Formats: sequence, structure tokens, C-alpha cells
Amino acid sequence: MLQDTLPNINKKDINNVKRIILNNLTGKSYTNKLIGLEEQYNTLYDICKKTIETGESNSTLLIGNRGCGKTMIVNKLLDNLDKEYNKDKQTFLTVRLNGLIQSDDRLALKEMIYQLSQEEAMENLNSTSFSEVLSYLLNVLSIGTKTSKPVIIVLDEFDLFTQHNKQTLLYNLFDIAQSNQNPIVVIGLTCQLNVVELLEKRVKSRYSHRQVLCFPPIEIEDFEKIIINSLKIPENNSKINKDYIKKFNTEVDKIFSDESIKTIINRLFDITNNSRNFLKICIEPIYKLSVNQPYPKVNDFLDAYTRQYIDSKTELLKGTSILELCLIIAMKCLLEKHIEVFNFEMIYDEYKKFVQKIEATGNGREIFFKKQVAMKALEHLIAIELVLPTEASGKCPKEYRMMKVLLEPNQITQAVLKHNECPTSIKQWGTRWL
Amino acid sequence: MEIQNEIDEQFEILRKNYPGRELQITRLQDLIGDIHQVVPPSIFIFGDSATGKTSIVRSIFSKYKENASFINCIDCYTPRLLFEHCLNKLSGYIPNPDNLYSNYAHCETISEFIHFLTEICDKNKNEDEELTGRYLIFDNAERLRETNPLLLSALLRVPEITNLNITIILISNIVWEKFRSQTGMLEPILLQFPSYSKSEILNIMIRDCPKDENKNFYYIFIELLYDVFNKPCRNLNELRHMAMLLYPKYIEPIQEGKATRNDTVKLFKHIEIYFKQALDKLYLRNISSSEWKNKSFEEYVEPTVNSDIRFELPYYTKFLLIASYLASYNPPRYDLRFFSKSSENKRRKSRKQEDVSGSKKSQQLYGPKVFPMERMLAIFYSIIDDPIEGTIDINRQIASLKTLKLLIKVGNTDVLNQMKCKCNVNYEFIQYLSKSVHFDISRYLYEAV
Repeated sequence: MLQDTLPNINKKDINNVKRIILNNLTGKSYTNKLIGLEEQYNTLYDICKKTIETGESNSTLLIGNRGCGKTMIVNKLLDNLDKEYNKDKQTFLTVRLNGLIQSDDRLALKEMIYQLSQEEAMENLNSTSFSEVLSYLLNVLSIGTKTSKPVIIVLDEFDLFTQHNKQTLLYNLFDIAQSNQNPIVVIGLTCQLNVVELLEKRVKSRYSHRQVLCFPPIEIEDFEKIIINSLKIPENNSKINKDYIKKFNTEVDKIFSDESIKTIINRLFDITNNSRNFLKICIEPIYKLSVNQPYPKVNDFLDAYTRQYIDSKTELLKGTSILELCLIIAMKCLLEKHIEVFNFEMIYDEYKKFVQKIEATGNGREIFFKKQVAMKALEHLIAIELVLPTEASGKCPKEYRMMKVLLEPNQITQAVLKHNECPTSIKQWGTRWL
Repeated sequence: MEIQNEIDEQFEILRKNYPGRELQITRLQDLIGDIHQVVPPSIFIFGDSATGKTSIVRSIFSKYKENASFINCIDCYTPRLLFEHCLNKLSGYIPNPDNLYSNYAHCETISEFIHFLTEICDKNKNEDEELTGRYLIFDNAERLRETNPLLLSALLRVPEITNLNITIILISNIVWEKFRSQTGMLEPILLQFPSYSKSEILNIMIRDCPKDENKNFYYIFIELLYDVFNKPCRNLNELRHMAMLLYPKYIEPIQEGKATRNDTVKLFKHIEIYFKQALDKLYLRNISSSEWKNKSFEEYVEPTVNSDIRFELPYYTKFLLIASYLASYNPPRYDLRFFSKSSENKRRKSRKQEDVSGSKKSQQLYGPKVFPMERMLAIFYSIIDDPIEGTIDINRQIASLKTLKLLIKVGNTDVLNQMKCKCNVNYEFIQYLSKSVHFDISRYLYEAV
């Protein structure tokens, strides 16, 4: 049984393994193979290559769902181009902007100048007016000829850039790309399919209408491959014990041939083919690796899955007090009467009716509370946003403030069934169907 | 490595100090316990209030020195405050008189924030290229949604964009679904802090046991307290607050020598009265803790009715308010029946039959209706007994009721005579008020409350 003897694993190995896989999972490394995206990568690569080698300007949009690998393609592209052409950082420049971060043109311009000036001896403008910055940047970009240094501009969340006032930035970038000025490539990344329609006419006419579409994995095998790939350690890693790598990779394969894991993948794939959703589950089991437990376990994955995909509202309801639960059931009763918007008085009325009904059994008093106490309970429900007021406060006494419940009747029933300390009478009330 | 040792120690201490939270603490340790490891991009910690979220996370990160910034989003209610506090903490910069309470940097946008963040992280980089995690913690994270809808998406992207070893930790008592609104949201790792079970609550509360007290004796008391109060309230903080104030009352008979520690029944009989009062008074914070302590036993047994409403208005103003209450809650078509003086003999009270169908709610429950001024004045003149003296300026009284927000103006006009109003007080209040002027309001109400 030589195979079963544990390879000599030390803490350093474990830490290295963790680091490699976690970098994969969180998208911090881009050494991994692209799966199903080779074509898109090559198109972009060719475009950039032309710009760098022959000074041809271009603009393109990379469109694809969330989590299908757009940023990864670009990261990899820039990485490879850097290795190929830019060893001394002299051949071309890159600028990366993100629509979420650079929320208006002014910030975007400042950021562009900042990034350019990091590598080039460019004058760093300190808070001048928008027009000054713009004209300065245009000057820098347009005085060049085809032989000037090419610039690769990546605009992440491109759709947000189209919301900027008058689309000045996009207009100017596309304009430079179209006329024979400094060679630039503009790569826009977005998940919005109709993004071209968001462009103003004058901007649209300057855009080259080149689009590269990315698709999330269509076949479940590809989906699985992406996941397994990011959980494996490259065999050629010299820092880590070879036997350990081998064993680790076979263990990973073993996990994904397990039936229960397969069902999870299937289920998730039916909901969304964004691989990030599964990778999120993998993070916790990987963090658990230690010298005593050097390989991931199926159970850890299953645990993580249930934790990440529970109905958190039902979970939250499980911990509520009996009074709060009663109020929520009362709201459910109102919903059954097709009253969607209600106020505290109506809820309390419904609650009172229930208490009167079960009074005969003798335990009604126990669960009946004064209005103010019930009000406090309701305010707690509002604070945890299970109930949402539809009226501004102060318009009428707070007992009459209209609100609606943000739970499905089904969720309420589930919560009542799962509640630990719920008396039977309330259980019956909460699960009854009209 | 020094910090790492302290962190490990801290986790051990926490496991001891937080019974019922061992699982959560272990999971946190797995995720963020190793400061020299790749950190997860974002963690979302959620659970009901008083489940130990903030206090556990805060005490963990107290040992991380300048690698963590703990920000309460209620304190830092604008992006600028948020960013600047973060930067101050991460850089170890403390505003003090010498630097004129300035901040590490002036930073208003997330774009600038990222620059400064990178700057700080580069500056503190170890020579031996060892990874160090940085942790940005945002307590009460639900507030982040209020300022700028893209702020949260952008914050969650910070680790990806900067490519630094940073993790964003959000703490909230609201579920994650409510945060998903805008484009570009990355899904964080969820970590739930479930509500405590009964035995866990008792285990925590037993830690409050006074030093010189027998644990078993105290346990009987808190179990009793829990059984009485768990129906309306399972919040640990509330329960501890009540235990603290009720316990001295519980042992009163023992101190006075009327009972021994074994007379559980006797002690229970004694405390029962206080329990009844505690829900109204202590839980709703109608009296302060010191008031509660100083009250004598007799006051608990015979509490004065409605003592918690204390409000005074001039005599006629009270009637004005009563009139507006009636105008708000009675349908206008029954005015003649209730208030007409000529038809004194007619049936005054007429209560509508209860709606049998049940699907329609009684109008009373929908709250106050809008009424025109004239109608209210007509009711007012009808319910006061003696004709009013000419010197009283009714309009001024109405205006002052409006300023007190007892009446709420509806519509735009500012002319008092044409104004439409709503009455903004509840039944308990109006009942108290009408009692003080010896007016039986229930006789005039269309639907009894």
C-alpha cells in the first residue's frame, strides 16, 4: 500500500496550495487556461497586435454575461502582451478604467492622466478644470503620429460610461481611434447586449462597430471543466512537493465524480451558468485545508453549498419571537383576503381575532400582548426589512402607517413550521390554507 | 509573526467568551484567521440584532493593528467620511491637536480612495514580499445603500480592481437579497449568525450572575424570566437589561428575611407583580431604570391608570382636538345623527353591523380621514356645552395644534378657513384627553374601538 502513505507534507506546501487555488477562485491570477474563450481571445489579440506593430487604431466592444470571463480575457491579454512586447515598458501604454469607480468624465480623465503619467514623464495636473484636462489629454494623444507609442485603453463596465454627460469621453476616444492620430485601441467591456443603442449618434458613427461576443459555458461539461481547472494545481510547480500535487489533483477529480456534488452542479447550472456561483462554494473548503487535512472533502463542499444557498429570510424568521411570528401570520391572513397594503391596526385586529378564537382552549391569554408591545415587535420587523412601510412617517399616527410584507405566504408557512418554540395552536393558524 | 500569535490567542479567548457562537468563530478563523494568506474578496455577516456579530468581529480585529479598519456606517454617513476614516485607520494616522485634526488625505470619490489605498499598501509592504491581508469592515452595512447606489458595487470590486490582498467585510441585520440592486454586484461569502436558542441564551445570561451568588439559584431566576418574556421578546440585550433590573426585586424577600433561597414558590409569587409591570414599563422604556429602582412596592401593586400619558392643553383646545378626532374617524353622513342639537330625542348612537363577509376591513382601521375645517368647527360648537366666549381666538388654537403636529395639514393652502386636515393622535390619547374634560367620546364615535 505504497500509494496510501501520505506524501511528506509540511505547512509551507499547504499554504502554497491554498494561495494558488484561492488566487484562481477569486480571479486574482490569470495563468489558468481559458476554456471556450480561445476564439475571442485571439480576435482581441490580433487587434492589439496590429496596433502595437503597425500603429493602426481600433475600437471594439467585448460583450458577455456576468462572470463569463471578459475581464479574465483582458487580464490575460495584457499580461501576455506585456511579456511579448513590453519588457522594458517602452513599447506601449495601458490605461484601465472602470465605470463603477470612475463615475464621471472628470474622474475618468484624471485617472487616465494619472495612469499615463505613472509610466511616461507626463505633467500630472492637479485639479484643474474639466476643459483644461480634456484639452491637455487630447493634445497629448493627438499630436502623435502613427509612430508614436500606442495606448491600450480598457473600459470596464462600459455601459456606465454611456451615462456620462454628453458622452464626451467616449466621443473623444472614438474620435482619436478613427482619425489618424496617436494609435490607440479602445476595448469596452460590458454585459449589456444593447449597449450600442445607448451611444449617441455622433459617438456611434465614430465607433468601429466591432463586437466580440463572449458566451458563458453552454454545455455542463465545460462548466465543470472551468471549476475543476481552477481547483487544480499546475503539475510543473516546483515549490510544492510533487507527490502532494499529484494526490491533490486526483482527490479533486474524485470529488467531482461524487454523485451529490454532481447534483449540486446540475442544479446550479440550471439556475445560472455563471461559474462564480460555484467557485464561491469552493472557497470555504479550500480555507479549511491544513496539515491534518491536506485534501478537500466532499462533505465540506456540501456544507458550504447549503450555507451559501439557504433561504436567509426563512432563517431570519426562525429566530423571531412568538409575538413577531403572530404578527407575520396575521399579515399572511390579510394577504389571503387580498389586502396587500395594511397598517398596524389591521394586523393587530387580525391578531386579536385569532387570540379570541383560541381563548376557549385556555392558552390565548398567554400569547396576547398590549398594543404598544406589539408595536415594538412590528418596529423590529420593519428594522430587519421583512416589512416595508409604503408611506412616509409623520403623515398620520404611526399605527395607521401603511406597509406591506416582503415575504411570500409560502415562506411564512415554512418559517412557522421550522420555528422551534412555536405552540401548536399558532402552528395550525400559520399553516392553514383558505 | 507576532501579530499572528496574538490573533490565534484572541480566537481562543473568543471561543470561551461567546458560548453558542463557536461554529461561527471557527468559520471566521478559517476565512480570515491567517493574516499572511490570500484573503477572500468579500464576506457578508448577517443575523438578527443581538447575536454577537459586531462584538465578535470587533474583538477579532482589535488584534490586527493597522491591517484592519472597522467602520460603523451610521457614524460615517457620507462617502467622504467613510473613505477618510478607512484611510486614517489603515495608515495609522490619528487626527490630533498637533495636526489640527486633519485626515490622512482629502478623499471624496472611490477613485481617489483606490489611489490612496494602493499607496498605503505599497508603503507598508514587507521587504521579504510576504503577503499581508487588509480588512475593511463595514458595520451596519445596510446604510451603504442609501448614499450612492453604485457605492456598494464599487466597494465590492475594490479587491478585484486594485489587485491587492484586501477583503471587504459587511455586517448587517438585513438579508443579502436586499442589497442586490444595481449592476456589477459581486456575491460575497455569506456567514450567518443565527438567533440564540433557549439554552444558549440561558448560558450567556448565567455569566451575568453576581459574584457572591449561587449559580443554580440565579439560573432558576433567569429561566423564570426567560419563560415569561420570551413570547414578546427574544432579544438578548433586552432580556439582560430586564434581568439586571428585576433581580434585586427578586431577592428582596430574602434580604428582608421573609424567605429563604429554597422558597422558590414564595419568591415567584413575589416577583410576579413586578414581571407584569416590567413588560409595560421596562420593555417599552416608559420609565427610566433609576425610577424603576426607587419605586416602592405599593406603587407596583396599584399603578395609576394611564399614567404614562402626560400632556396638557388649554380647555377649549382640548375640545378642538376631540372635535377633529371625531371629524377624522366618523363618516360625514352620520354627523347629523350625532351632533344635531334639535333632534336630541333621536337615536344618538348607531353602530354599524359588523361586516360579516370579513374580506372588507372596517373603515376605522384605515386610519384618520381628511376633513375640511368647517366641519370640524361645526362639531366643535356642537360638543361644547356652553356657548363660547368671544375672546377666544379659535384660529390661533388651531394653528398651534398644527405646530404641535397634533393636526396634520393636507394640501397646499395656508388659509386656515379653507384648510383640510387630519387628526394625528390615537385613541388612547384622545380618551385620556376627553376624560380630563369629562367628555364621553365613545358616545359620539361611529364605530366603537
